[in-house]
This record gives sequence, C-alpha cells and structure tokens, in this order.
Amino acid sequence: MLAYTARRLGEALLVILGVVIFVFVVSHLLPANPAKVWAGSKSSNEQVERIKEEYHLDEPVHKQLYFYLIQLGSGDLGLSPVTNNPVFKDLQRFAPATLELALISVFLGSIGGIYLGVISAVHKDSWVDQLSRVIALAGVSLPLFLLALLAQLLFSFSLNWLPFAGRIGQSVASPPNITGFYLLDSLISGQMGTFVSVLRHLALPSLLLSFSSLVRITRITRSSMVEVLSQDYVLTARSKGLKERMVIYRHALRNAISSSISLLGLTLVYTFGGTVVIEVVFGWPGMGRYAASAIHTLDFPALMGFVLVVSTVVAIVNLIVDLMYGVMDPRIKYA
Amino acid sequence: MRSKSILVSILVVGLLLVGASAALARSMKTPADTFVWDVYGPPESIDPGMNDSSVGERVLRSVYGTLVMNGPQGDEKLYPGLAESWEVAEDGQTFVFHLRQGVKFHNGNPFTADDVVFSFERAIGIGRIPGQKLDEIANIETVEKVDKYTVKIVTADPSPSLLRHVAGTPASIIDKEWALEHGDEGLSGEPAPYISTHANGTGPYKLVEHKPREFFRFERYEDYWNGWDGEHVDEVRLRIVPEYSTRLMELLSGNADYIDVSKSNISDVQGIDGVKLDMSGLGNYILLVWLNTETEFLQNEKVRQALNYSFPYDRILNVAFRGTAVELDSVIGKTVYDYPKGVEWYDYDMDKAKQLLEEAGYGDGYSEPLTMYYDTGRSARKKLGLIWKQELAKLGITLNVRAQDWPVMAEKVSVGDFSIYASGIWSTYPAASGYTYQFKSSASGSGGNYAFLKNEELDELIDKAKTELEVENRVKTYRKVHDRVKELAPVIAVNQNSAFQVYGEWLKGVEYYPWGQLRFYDVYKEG
Repeated sequence: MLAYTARRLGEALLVILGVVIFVFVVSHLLPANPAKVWAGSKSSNEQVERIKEEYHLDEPVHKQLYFYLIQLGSGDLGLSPVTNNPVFKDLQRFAPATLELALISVFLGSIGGIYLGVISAVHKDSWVDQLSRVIALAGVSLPLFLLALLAQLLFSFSLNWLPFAGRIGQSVASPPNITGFYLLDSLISGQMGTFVSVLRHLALPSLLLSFSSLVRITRITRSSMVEVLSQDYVLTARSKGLKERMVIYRHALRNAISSSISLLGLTLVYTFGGTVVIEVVFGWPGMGRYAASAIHTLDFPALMGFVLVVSTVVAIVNLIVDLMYGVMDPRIKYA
Repeated sequence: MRSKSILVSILVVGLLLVGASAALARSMKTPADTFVWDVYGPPESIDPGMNDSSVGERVLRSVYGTLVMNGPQGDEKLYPGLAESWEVAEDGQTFVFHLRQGVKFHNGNPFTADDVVFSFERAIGIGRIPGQKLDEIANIETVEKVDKYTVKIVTADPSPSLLRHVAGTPASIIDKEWALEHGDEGLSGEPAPYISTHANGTGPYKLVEHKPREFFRFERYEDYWNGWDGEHVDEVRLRIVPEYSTRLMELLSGNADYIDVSKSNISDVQGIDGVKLDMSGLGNYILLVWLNTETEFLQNEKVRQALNYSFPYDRILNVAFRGTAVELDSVIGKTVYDYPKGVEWYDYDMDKAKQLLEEAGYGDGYSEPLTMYYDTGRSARKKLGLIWKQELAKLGITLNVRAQDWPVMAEKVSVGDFSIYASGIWSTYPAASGYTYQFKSSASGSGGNYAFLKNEELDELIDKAKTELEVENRVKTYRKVHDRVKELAPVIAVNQNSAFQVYGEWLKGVEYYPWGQLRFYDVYKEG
C-alpha cells in the first residue's frame, strides 16, 4: 500500500509537471501581445518595448519556459505584471474561497446524490424515481448561470431569505485568517455571528454548484444499485430475515458504490469549471474569477499559478479516490 | 409519467414567476449613513503609479489628494486642492505651488513638499500609464522642493495643460515615509506590492478594509482639510459584483445605492420607479474606425475619404447605438476646454464616395475583401460594421466584420496586421492634446495611432497646438489640426459616448466628473 501510494505520488507529480508545461507553451504560443496588454491600451511604443525586455517576452518559448521552471523550482510563483502582487499571495487569498465552495459542493452533491440514487433504485419507477429523473434532466439541461440567476431572483430578491452576493455580510467582522476557509476560521475563533453569515452566503452558490455532481452521482448510483439489488446475495440477505435498511446500506450499497466513487474525481473537475460561472454571478472572490481575468490580461504568472493549484488538487483527489476503492472493496489489493 | 414531469416543471417555473412578480417596492435598505456602490470589476491595482482602470480611479479620487482639483462637467475652473495657490511663469514652463499647511495623511504623518516630489518622481520612475501621463504627455522635466511648503515643477516645453494633469489621479500625493516603510523603490521602477492593495492619502475617506476582488470599505477621515460642512455619508462600500443582473437586483431590492450599468443594458433601467437614470453627462470616449494607411487599398487618401462619405453616421447612431452616444464632429472629444468649436466631420454622401473612388481608380470597387475587427463583446460595433457593410457593397467593396480578443488585437495593431479596426480613444485629462497625440507618427502601431499615419506636417501642427499658451491661439491651431486630419482621413469619426449614472432616488448630490468619476464626498442620502 505504501509503495503503491509513493508510486502514485510520483506519477501525480509528473502529471502536474506535464500540465504546467503544456499550458505554458500553449498560452505563450498565442499570436498575442502581452506587453501591450500589461502596459495598458494607452501606453506608448517605448513603454511596450521596455516591458517586453523586462519580462523576456522577446525570447523563444522554450527559453521562457526554462526561466519559469527554474523560478518555480526555487518555490517562487512570480509577480503578476498586471497587479504587481506576488502570485503566491494572491492564490493564498483566492484559492481557499474557491476550495471551500467546491469542496462543500462536491460533499453535498455526493451525499445527496448517493442518497437520491439509492432511494430511486429501491423505489424503482415510483414517483420518487420519476422526480429524481426530472431533477436529473433539469440538472444536465439547464445552464448553470440561468439556474443561478433564477435562484437569486427567488431566494434573494423576492423572498429576501439569502444574500445576493459576496462571501460574508458587511456588518459582521471577517474571521481571522487561519486556514482561509471562512466556515472553519469563524468556528475556530468562536465567532458565531460570522459563522452564520458565512453559511448564509455559502448556501445558494454551493447548492447550485453541487447540482451537476448531484445529478451525475444520482444516476450512476441508481443504475448500479438497481443491478446489485437484483443479485442473488441480496435475495439471500433478505431471506435471512435481515432488516431492509441493513440489506440496502450494508450489503447492496457497498458493492454499488465503487462506480460512484470513481466519478468523484471527475466531479471535482466539473465543479472547478462551474465555479467560474458561480463566482461571477455571486461576486465570489475566488480563484475562478482570478484565472478568468488572468486569461483576459495574459497574466502568465497568475494563470500558471492557477493551473498549478487546480492540477495539484485534482491529482490529490484522484489519489484519494484510488485508495478509497480498497477501503470500500476488500477484494482490491494494491501492489 | 410524462404528464407528471411536465406538471412538476410547470410548478417550478410558476413558483419562480410568482416570486419575480412579487418584487418589493423600491426603497433604500442600506444604512442611511453608508453609500453602497456595486462596481463591475476589481481594479488591478490601487497604486497611483500603476492604476489604469476606472474603478481604481474612483478609489484614488476619494482616498488620495491632488495639488489642484477639476470641477464637475460643465465647470472648467480649477480648484485649490493640496496646493492653496500657484503661479505660472510667463514662459509657461515653470509652475510654483504653495502647499496647504497642517494637512495630515490618514496615518497621521504630516504632508510636506517631500511627499509631492516623491509622488511625482515615483510615478514617472515606475514608468506605467500614470508615469507616462506626467512624463511624456505633460512633459514634466523636474519637480523640486523649494521649501517645506513650496514645490516647483518645470516642464520641457511650454505646457498650458499642466495644471489639468496635476489635477488627475496619476498626480495623487502619497505619503513618502509610509511608502518607504513598506519597501517601496518606486523611484527606481520597483513599486511595493503593498501599495497595490493598501492606501494612505489625504483625501476625505480613508480605506479601512480591502478584500481584493470582493469589496473596499472606507470611513470618513475626520481631519480632512476641506472639513465636513454640509451633508456627507460616514461610510462607503465599493463592492465588486461582476454580473450585471446581480447588480441590478441589488439596486432594485434596495441593497445597493448606485450600480454600474453597461451601454447595452440601459433600456432595462429606463422608467423603473425609484431608480434614477441620469444621462445628462457626456463621456470622454470617442469611437473611431481606424483605416490602416499602410495597406494597399487604404494607403490612397481618396479611398479613405470615400469610405468616410460612405459611412451612414445617423443610422448607425440611432440603430446601433440607440441614444447612448452623440454625433462627433472631429477626432477631438467635445468635452475638452480647448475644443475647436464649429468644426465638422464628413457627411454621409454616396455620390461623393463613388466619385472619389473613381478618381482613385477603383470605380468598379475593390476585389479583395476587407475585414473590420472590433473588440469581442462590443455588440454595438458589430452592428455598426453590419450596417456599413451594406453601404460598401453598393460601392463594390466587400467588408467582413470580425470580433477579436484584445490580447490578440494588441499584437495585430503593433505589427499592422489588419486593414480596419473599430476602436475608441479617450483623453485622461480635459484638454484636446489628450486626443491629438494619438495621430502623431511616433505613436504608430502600439502607441495608439492604429492608422499608422505618418505625416510630418501634422506632427508639427499637433506639437504647436499643444504648447500654444493662449487658449484662443491654441483653439485656432486645433482647427488646423482638425482640417488636416479630416483631409488625411486616417479614421472615420463615429461618435462620442454619453455618460450615464444609475442609482436609487434616495441618493443625492450625484455629480458627474468625466475626468475622474463620481466622488464619495459629494453624495448623501435622504430618508
């Protein structure tokens, strides 16, 4: 198990390096003029030339990549030429906001999805199953930004239950910066008012963002549960007189869940994609918006920083998912 | 089963519609002593030596101070700011400022001539847009401390617009001691990252909290040198809400007092109870269609003139821009104080267009299709292109209209890889020179002269106008500049944008400053 984990970690590092090199090369090959964009549209020719020189933009791509990797090797993510902020500091500020949102969404989506999937499978073709099918259809066919706007219209504008935008109410004090996760930080420091405000701000965006993972996991769980429930050992378990709950959650789900778990890594990737939309609609100060504006301004150091964080998180989650197979299914051995 | 799922869908949609129609009456829900402004995006930096965004400008205006201050639109006077008075030498090159005494920065440090010298030299040293304005455009040569409360600025040439530059945010005065404490090396070109997100000025509001890309919170600075007579708010919150629909809902529900609305959404906010749409101002942005004079077809002056005659100005103004812009008579914005009144641009006249093309040898049109680029997302410019395309077709010219992202366009304009580009220019100070310098040969390509026009006579005229000390003479020279530009026709002068402000009716004191946005100090609330 240890050897396996070590090997997978090594592979994950290679994947991350590959992603970094790929994105670096592709973004630098664009027929664009970053120096002009950084200098501002009203800049003079001299300013543009000066910036080109300062950031080695005249050098060939492989040389620029070499400079970047050397810098990365020394643990430096560089300085954004647009904001003049160290990229590391920016990411420290914006990554927790996105991770908090994404992780809560994936958590809500998986728990809800597995539960809904089980219920639909058990009550196959009943109204519960049909309702979950409608939700699934809505989930894949309604664009996220439309759903988000409709939800805002209903819950924030008309009913006035939840705030429109932002990460925290402006009349409450921000939590101390311990982990960067507001929920956790406000709990640790015992600021209950802040905790409630953060929760209220998280409610809509995280629920909406969890929708696509919920839908996927529901459908996968349902179909594998339906299959498992028709197998002989389930019949045996039932004929032994086990309680139905026991049969479903201990015997059947355990065998059906591995396909849902393998979906988890993929779900996280989709969720990261969705955060960009949610962050814009809900004014969420996260990494998605940071990366989007980095693309618009060709802010290479910021863009690469974002790629590094996302690829690392996805690699780690995939590793955890692989290790979880073994925990869930004792037949799987790691060698 | 299907009927059931349809039923459920109808139910959900119905619920949402009921929710929407139950919209609450528009009323202020923000605290009466707090002004809440939802803006479209974050400033990249709030360092006066780095800022190049309008949101940054709003912050700088209220947090920092300048030696001289501009009035709102329509008021051409200059007002004393951190300088109580000033003298201009006869040569128009030496300016002496007498500084206000007893002024303190927000952190308590005293304001002196050292801060002024430092702020100017720092912006120039950093060498970004703000520095360029002071250095290359205002032609500042030296900024000297005469004594603790006197500063002398000397320019390379006579600079009649210098005071206008000194009133702009690039000339914001920052606390030297504070900047150095935070590791600033601005004088050698290395600004401290700290100053990109923090501020310490002498303005009416101090920045007390800044969560980048989320919000700014400002509080009234009790020791502001201009005092707090009259009505003002105690607190200002500037929230970054990138989605327009969210901003609109915030305003309609009373959770925001003032919101940013883009041109294409203006019709949404017209005629809503409790929401004020003020369109009385005129912006400083003029839209031009650049004709690349280095391409085969467009290098011919007569062809460029013909294209100007083929442009249906009125139809484009009414159909593509729908009242969000006004006609333009020159390549100089109408809001500058030395505007050459009475000048006129081309009119739509297809007969003249045809005649000119014939004279140029293109009586049957041009075989190669032309492409007009515009910046992605600018729908009015797309419409402009599509309307113009029909006119050009009558002349035997094919026009393709294509959107392009700015980073890619930035490369195209630097190497001249395009024939036509619809893109505006704006001046960052209220003088004509802020527009005309983009027509100089030295600005060809990346520098803003996207027509790659190179004409020595025009260069000389532009320089002469800029340094003319008497306003009357200057206006006369600008008239000559206009005539020459019109004849050379490197652009089509499309229109100048109207400025609009959208806010709750409870907000009072809103003034429009085309050269530096709404000021927090002016506004207060009723009810």
